[in-house]
Amino acid sequence: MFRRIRNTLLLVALALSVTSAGMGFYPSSARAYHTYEERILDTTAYSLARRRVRLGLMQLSYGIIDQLQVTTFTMPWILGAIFQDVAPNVALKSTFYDRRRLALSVGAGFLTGTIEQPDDTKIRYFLIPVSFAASVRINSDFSTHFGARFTAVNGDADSQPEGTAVEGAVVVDFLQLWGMAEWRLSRVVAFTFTVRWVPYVSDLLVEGTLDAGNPAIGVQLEADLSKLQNAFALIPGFVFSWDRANIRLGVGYSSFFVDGFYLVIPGDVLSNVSPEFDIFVRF
Amino acid sequence: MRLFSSLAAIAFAVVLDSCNSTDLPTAPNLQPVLQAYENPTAVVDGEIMAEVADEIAEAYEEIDDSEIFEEILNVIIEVQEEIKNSTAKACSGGANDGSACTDDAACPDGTCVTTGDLVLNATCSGGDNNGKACDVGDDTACPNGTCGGGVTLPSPTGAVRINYICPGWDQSQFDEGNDAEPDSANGSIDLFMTLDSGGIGRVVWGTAVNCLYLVPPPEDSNCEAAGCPEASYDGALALDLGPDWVSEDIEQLPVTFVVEGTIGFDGDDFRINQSFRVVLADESGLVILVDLADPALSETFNYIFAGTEQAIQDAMGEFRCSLEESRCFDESGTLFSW
Repeated sequence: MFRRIRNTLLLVALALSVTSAGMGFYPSSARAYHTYEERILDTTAYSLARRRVRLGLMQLSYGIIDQLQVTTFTMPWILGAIFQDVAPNVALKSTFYDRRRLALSVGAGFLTGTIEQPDDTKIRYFLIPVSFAASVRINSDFSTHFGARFTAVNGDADSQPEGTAVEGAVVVDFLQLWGMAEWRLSRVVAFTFTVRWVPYVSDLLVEGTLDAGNPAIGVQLEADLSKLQNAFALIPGFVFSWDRANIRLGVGYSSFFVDGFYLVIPGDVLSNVSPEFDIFVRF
Repeated sequence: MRLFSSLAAIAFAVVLDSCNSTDLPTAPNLQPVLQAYENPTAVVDGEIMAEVADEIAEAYEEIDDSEIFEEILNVIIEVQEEIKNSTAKACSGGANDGSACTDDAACPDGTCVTTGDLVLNATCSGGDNNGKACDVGDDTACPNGTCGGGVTLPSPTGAVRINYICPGWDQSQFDEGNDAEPDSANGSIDLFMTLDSGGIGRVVWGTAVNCLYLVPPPEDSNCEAAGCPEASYDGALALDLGPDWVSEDIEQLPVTFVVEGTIGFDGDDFRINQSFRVVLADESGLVILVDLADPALSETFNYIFAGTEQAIQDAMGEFRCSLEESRCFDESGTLFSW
């Protein structure tokens, strides 16, 4: 237990020190603040330019070429470590079109991990998100961003042969749509208003063994996830952008859309508080 | 009775088709059989009984002796209990409204009702049994801890597959502390049932593959002392648990069976293609559906065995009969004989 906490603290400390190091790594470039070049990357169609780096609490990104960035989210690694197994994840985003007032991007990635239950049951999960985003620059101060993400979730579990544990596979798919208005109040401060919505959630399909004893009980079930359908969030927030440091901060209403895990936590679980937070440097 | 096979063929064709499907299996439609029990259409006389009396007697003897229904219902009861224990329950009304519970005692001024959610893999958190499996909401299984966690399936619907390895003919299975591994050489029973709102559906269906078992003597489970007859069943089966299957104990319910296969008992094989109705808790009761005409179920009556009494229920009503005396009668005397 202490070892797990120690590992977790070490990981958090590592993430913080990487971020701090980036903040302290002084400018070789004048490009910063909210500018024509420097765009908000999250919930938009924009991606990092070639050889640019983003180091943050929530994600680490690198611009492979001007049209392609690779990202890994930190929370799955950290929370995965808490549950005894890190959760590798990679997301690629390509801004394949960026001319005049319009930018378009596509993205894809994966997240995988294992959760070990106290009774030694291991639940493995594998998520594949595929997304599309469009950003429209109305004028130099005001932009709008729209997107859709389809996430396919596969999982399986195995357990001790005795007991009532489930073994088998789980499948669920869902679609998320979002829209964001961005208003640049100054070169440091941008106000954002984000709307997220889940118009479609498939039934949860479970195929497995409920009890491997005698009688052996196998199940092929569809569970109702309609509670998640039409989950939404309205999130006003701000993005502060300085020379290198950036803070994204927002608190909204209703469901919590968990970046990095691609999941949605229904509003009633967190008293309808939908947070948005990241602190990062770009260089 | 001889024409019952066409109906059984239809029912089991649905079963086989459902097994081949990649979708969830569909339960066979037993409603025509249930209708036949409720509304017998034949008018029974001596001529009819002369033709079917021996078949009725033989079917009764084989079903009653082999207790095949008991072997199957015990499997279903065990599965139902397993699912019931994995279904989340919460207090409705009272001081603990909305709290997890396992029975009404945990809900002062309220009742403990099922939420319909299935919770798999619940474990004790903290306490003496930390990390051990428990039934959802049952904190008594976790001294000084709580039972929780696991994977919750909200209002699941679907199918349950059951594979039961039959106990075989080894008398030592009844010995205290006997925990021998099931031997697949003893045959098996494979059943399907549907799951809806946290409970099993009223229709269960499947097949038995050369299932070997012992029939314990009444009120004595020690086969080594009394000797137990060897029984077997090989064939298809479907059963309906009746309209009250959700709220009532399965042992107390009249369960309607449709079987098509071979019953073995004490070395003899008997081909059966029959529907019958039985209450597990009432060992002396059995109703046999007698189907006389073609098309199937167009002319039926019920032959009832209730302890030492026998009766016929036909289109005209109910009257007593005796296969041993080859006659049917009422208070006024013999109605007809054969």
